[in-house]
Amino acid sequence: MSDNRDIIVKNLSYTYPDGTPALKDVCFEITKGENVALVGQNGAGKSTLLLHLNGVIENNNGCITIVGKQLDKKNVPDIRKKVGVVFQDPDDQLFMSTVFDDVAFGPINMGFSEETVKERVKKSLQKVGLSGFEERCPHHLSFGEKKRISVATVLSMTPDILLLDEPTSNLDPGGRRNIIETLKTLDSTKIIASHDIESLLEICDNAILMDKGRVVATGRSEDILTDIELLNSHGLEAPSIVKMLGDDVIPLLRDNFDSSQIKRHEKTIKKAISKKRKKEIFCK
Amino acid sequence: MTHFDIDKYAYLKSPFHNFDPRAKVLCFLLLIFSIVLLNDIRVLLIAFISTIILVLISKIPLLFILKRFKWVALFIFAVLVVLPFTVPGENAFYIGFLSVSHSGILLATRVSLKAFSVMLLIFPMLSTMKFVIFIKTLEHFKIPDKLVQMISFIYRYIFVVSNEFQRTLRSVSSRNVGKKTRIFRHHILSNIIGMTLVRSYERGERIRIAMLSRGYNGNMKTLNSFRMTKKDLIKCSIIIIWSISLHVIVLTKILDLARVVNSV
Repeated sequence: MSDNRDIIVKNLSYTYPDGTPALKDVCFEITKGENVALVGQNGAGKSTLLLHLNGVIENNNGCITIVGKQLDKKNVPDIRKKVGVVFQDPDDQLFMSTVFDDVAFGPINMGFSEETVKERVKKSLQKVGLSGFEERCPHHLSFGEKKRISVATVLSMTPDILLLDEPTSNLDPGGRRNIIETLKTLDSTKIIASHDIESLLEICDNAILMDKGRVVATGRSEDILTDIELLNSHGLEAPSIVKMLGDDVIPLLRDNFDSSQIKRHEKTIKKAISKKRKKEIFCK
Repeated sequence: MTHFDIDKYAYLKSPFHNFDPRAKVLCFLLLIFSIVLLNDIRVLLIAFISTIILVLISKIPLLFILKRFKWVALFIFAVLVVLPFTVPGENAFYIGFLSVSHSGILLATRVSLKAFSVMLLIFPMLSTMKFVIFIKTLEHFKIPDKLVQMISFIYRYIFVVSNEFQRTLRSVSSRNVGKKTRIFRHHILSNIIGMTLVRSYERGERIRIAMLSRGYNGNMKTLNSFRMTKKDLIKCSIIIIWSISLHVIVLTKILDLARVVNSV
């Protein structure tokens, strides 16, 4: 087997201390540089799975291999350097008193020199488009800015794998677009847990669908995230454009547009449909 | 949402605002100890006047200081009222059947002058720098890491918790609780406080996880860019010399000498 697999999860099961089962026999593999959407209704086990991949939740029921290293107590510090987690609520992620200290927290703990830390902070803030925010206090930032700084706190550790929990939730359209564009520029392997199917279609190549702690479907995101029946049966909803046109139109649209274009040209497509040009699109 | 104006006057321009925080804290602490150790009431008065001058130099609005002063003033006022009646000594005068002693009046004045001077000095020391810088200064002075972390977290999350509390209060008032009985209102308020505590606890857990995932190992290190300049050294020297001078005045009995000279 080639070594380009960043994440290998085999037979992972987990039950919360109160007895609630969270993960059941979860298995999947993710290759280097892949962007994977992790979808599922609330309580499906998405966040719990992400916390396992970073070693925050210790669990011996199953096997996790991250960039060639098996996740165990001995390897946890190394694995945390390779796997960055961006949590849903930026107020949980930004716990220091200034943006600089927050972004520098990871690199300092990794033992880098002062100069390197400063350089990494500068670069990370540049990547998320918030240079000059170093001395700001997190409680004086907007929610969108906090989200982007949260991403920067992890980028400064230059992780091989980036795990993001609901990166676009509670954002206004502008803030959401900023986050999407920022994520698209990052090269690392990404797992994005979200309910924002449209943004996932734009960012991710593949998708994992979870329900009640199990992986129920894996595949190309354009197949999984546009399958109205599949999504509905697991408490999710397809994007409005897919619902309007029907899921069989997506493969045909894909030949002409990529997923981001489908989203951007939503109005045009609607217009085309309303003018009864649906047949022309299908024929093409 | 309302935020506390803790850093409100940290951005003014005065000789104390651009003073190296480490030097500033050390010098002011020295001055505070120097004043606390004084016993001569005349020197204490001089120290008090010098403190007022330092506050004026810091450009912090007096109204801001007075607002924060009222609770301390209340405490000092209680001392001022009680001591003249309770300290034994030569009677100065009577109020009704209560005797007021000379030594009581002197002690009360001494305590009040010391307390007011120390309280006033806190403003040019702390209000002229951002609270974050103060935390870094504590860290630099090797104050126990756990204590610094606690102060840092309180500063970071007091705003978040306060916002959560205000949101819940607003939600309650939007459902018209105000019209209910007082007991019912107290019951609701205790529920809100309880919920805020539970939420804070849960948030604490999530923050711990976020810290662990970024390599937290119990110690929290930060970088700082403190630099001592020549100007800082001059300011330091002035405050240190003044702190020592206050005691030199007492030791050399200069004030007594002046009185003797005047009487001659």
